[in-house]
Amino acid sequence: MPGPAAPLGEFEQVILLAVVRTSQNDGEAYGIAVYDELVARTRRRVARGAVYMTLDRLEKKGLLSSYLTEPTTERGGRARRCYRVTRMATAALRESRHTLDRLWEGLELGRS
Amino acid sequence: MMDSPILDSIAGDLEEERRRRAAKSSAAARVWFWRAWLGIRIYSVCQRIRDVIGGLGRPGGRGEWRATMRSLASAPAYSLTSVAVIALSMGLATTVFAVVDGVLFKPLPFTRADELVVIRPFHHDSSQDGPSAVSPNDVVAWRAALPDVPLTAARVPLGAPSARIPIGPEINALQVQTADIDADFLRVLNVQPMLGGLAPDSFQVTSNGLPRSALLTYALWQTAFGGDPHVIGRVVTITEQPRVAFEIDGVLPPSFVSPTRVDAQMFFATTALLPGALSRRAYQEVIARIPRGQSTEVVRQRIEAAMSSVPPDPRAAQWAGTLLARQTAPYDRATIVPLGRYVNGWQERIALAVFAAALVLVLLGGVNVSGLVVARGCQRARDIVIRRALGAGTLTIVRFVFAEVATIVVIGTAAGVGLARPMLSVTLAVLPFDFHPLKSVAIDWRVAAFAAIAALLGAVLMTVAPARRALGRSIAIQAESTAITRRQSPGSRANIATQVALGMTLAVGGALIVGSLIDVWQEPVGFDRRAVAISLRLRRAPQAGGVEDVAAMLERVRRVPGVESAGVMDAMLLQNAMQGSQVEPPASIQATDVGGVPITPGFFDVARPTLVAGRYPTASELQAGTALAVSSMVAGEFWPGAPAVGQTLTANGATLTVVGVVEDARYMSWDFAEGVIYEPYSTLGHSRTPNLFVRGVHGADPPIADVLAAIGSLGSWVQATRVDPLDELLAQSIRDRRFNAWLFGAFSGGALAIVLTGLLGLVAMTAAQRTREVGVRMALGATPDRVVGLLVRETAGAVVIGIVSGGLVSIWAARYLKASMYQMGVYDPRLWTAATAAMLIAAGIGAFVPALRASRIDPVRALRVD
Repeated sequence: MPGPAAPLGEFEQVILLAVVRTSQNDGEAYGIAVYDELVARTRRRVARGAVYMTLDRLEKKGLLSSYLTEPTTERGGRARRCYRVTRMATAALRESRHTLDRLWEGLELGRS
Repeated sequence: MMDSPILDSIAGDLEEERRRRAAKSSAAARVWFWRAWLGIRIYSVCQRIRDVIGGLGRPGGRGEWRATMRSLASAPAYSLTSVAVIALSMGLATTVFAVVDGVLFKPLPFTRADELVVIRPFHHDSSQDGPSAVSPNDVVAWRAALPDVPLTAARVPLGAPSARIPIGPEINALQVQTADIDADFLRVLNVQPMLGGLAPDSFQVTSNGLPRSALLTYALWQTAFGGDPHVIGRVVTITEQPRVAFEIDGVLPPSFVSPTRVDAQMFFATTALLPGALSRRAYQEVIARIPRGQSTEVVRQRIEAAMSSVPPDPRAAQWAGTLLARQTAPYDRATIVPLGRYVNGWQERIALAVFAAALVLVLLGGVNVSGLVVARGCQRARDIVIRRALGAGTLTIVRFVFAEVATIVVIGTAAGVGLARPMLSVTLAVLPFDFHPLKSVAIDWRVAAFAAIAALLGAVLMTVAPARRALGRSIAIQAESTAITRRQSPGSRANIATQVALGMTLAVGGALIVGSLIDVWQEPVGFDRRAVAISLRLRRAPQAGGVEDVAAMLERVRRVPGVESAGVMDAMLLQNAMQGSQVEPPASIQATDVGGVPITPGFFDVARPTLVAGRYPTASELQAGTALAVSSMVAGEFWPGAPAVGQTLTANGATLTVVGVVEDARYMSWDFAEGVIYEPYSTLGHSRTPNLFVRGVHGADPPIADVLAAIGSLGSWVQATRVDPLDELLAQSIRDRRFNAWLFGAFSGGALAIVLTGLLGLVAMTAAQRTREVGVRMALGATPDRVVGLLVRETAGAVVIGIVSGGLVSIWAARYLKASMYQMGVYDPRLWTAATAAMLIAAGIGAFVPALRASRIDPVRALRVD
């Protein structure tokens, strides 16, 4: 498992941010909600499998933690698996942002 | 790949979304659901494959694996065939290993298991085979004689699972095998329950209305109670009559296995093992722990000495000729059998034979894939020659070949283990009741280890032949030197003939067993299968008022809403046993073995046997005992050439007129049609094994709970003991046949695929060795179809020899399958058509595909092969 300093991949960052946003907006960041938030914000087509696999991988890396809600009939008697970002993820996200900020500092790209 | 809890959550997410979308269009929502679900699964599998392949290509693998994968991808037919054969044979072997591991290899999971023995008594003048029907008096006497040898008794009901635990709708209750145990059971086995336990007073409650104390096995706790940790103290009532309530007092550890010959899942604390408590439907097993240092022979002699002190039970005469008589009579001989051998002894040889057969198939599969790799090596001669010319050493060439073989074996084994899961589910569903492995049958680490070791050995063995060829003289030179005149060698032809013969034998055996099962399935059973049968126990014989009592019960049951009709038949239903008739055959018949089925009014309304002539007896005729119906077989036997309707028979002095002839029925077993006399229940004189047949309105399931309640309200003279849909009983009656069909079917299918690969490999190798010859022939004007004909003809002779010799072996071997045959004889034309067609198709594909490839070769390229 990578330590807290391990850099995040682009898609991992996107997923982590989508989890944070969904948690703040709806309270429960589960698969479909995270996927919807991701598609709405990034405006790009993403494979659902990629979202679920990344959520799973981030949890195994310790960047997300998950909990199960009560099973409901709308879900065929299954529970929701909701995700929360961990402290390690918050630190990694901040570090990623600072890295990008430092790289952008003083740069002006002309229109291509 | 993702874990199952994650997949479960994803399924929940998709279901939630589907329901939202279903508000617009439910069909579109369903399509969306499946697309999304499959998309996620495929993505996850692809990702996994990418991870694995990426991992192989890392610096440690020096790019060899990537090259191998590219090489395999360039020959998809070869790669897929090889992987499929390895997957099939490994799947079969892994499934068989998962089952037999518990029987052959796993030690009994008890502390100092070698001390545990079963004491089996017998009479000096009888065989010691059969159940150990130990009398409770014996148990007491032996215990007194052996104070230094801990001893316990377990009583196990005979036959199919004996209790039903409610886990849903009543008719779907879980069938559970129970056993009664005494207070020393856990102490002798040295087992501690995982949860709870039995208190000494648990063994004192028997019939004062309090629930009985019960221990559950871990598997039952998981299945019926979802592994609920608060299950201790819960009172559960068995769904059938008598509605015995039991309190769950403990859960046994996962490693526990029932030390009884039938695999019990629930153990009742009982005092019923004490003298006086006898049962006609159970037998007792006595398990002892002989401490190390004590002589088994001395213990045996002490038991025999104690046997003489057991007085004969005064009731023995009453039960003459029954199992109970053996339980009540004193024994005078004893044998001591190690517990492991006692539990599994009869299964060991079968398990060993099946396992050996599976290993032979794996070996054959490996040899054939090795042949394919050799053939491919011939085709890639130029590649290998170039590598050698560039300085590749022996190790490099071996590694080159091994990488390819190992990749095929690893992918094939992974697919095989994946295939083993559904195969194992099917195997477990068809296992006979009395199959009793010593561990839960599952794809666990032991099975995975077996697959890994088999794969490693297989990969190494499969590398030997191709590597030897690659390292020998240049394959191209070999090809050149043998080019023009070489035909298939006698060894190759013998190999083809042997493989075809083996395939033919297995195909005939498989077709015989599977075909017999299909024939049984297609047999009409002679009664309507949609009814439900409720076994009854009548506490007093229905003489005098008995018949009226049964009639009153039927009236009560028919009034239950949802019940269309109900009737009683008094015969052992689908238990492979026949009961004689009370009706005397005509004077002209010396001896007959027709079955008697005493019936009440209403029975024909439920069972609806097909009428061949006449009519059903009416309710009043059955009540008065003046009319009966017979089945076709009885009519033909009693009155050959004459109409049966109108004939008379006598029973207990009364004259009865035959008013109808119906089709023969299968009340013993689905695979046995018997001649039946449907005689009035009133002529029976006493109750034997009554079964209440109930049919729901418009073919729906009858309301069993209400029917049981109605029976329960009649008082203690009648008790329902089992509830079985007739379809289920019919299926159970041929359980052994289903198991054999699955076993033979799987092995035959595996053998056919393996033979096909063998032929593919051998013919491909011959074709590759003759590339130059083919090129010359084609350059001189030979057409592709002539080339195909030439190569196929060379193989055809060996195939025909294989089919004929395999057929002869099958005819000889069929005698050992007689018990599993049904109507279908070994000379049945359908059997030979199916088996020969299967072999010809397999051999045809095996010979034709490589021949076709050879015929498509460019003559210029072929002539440059060296």
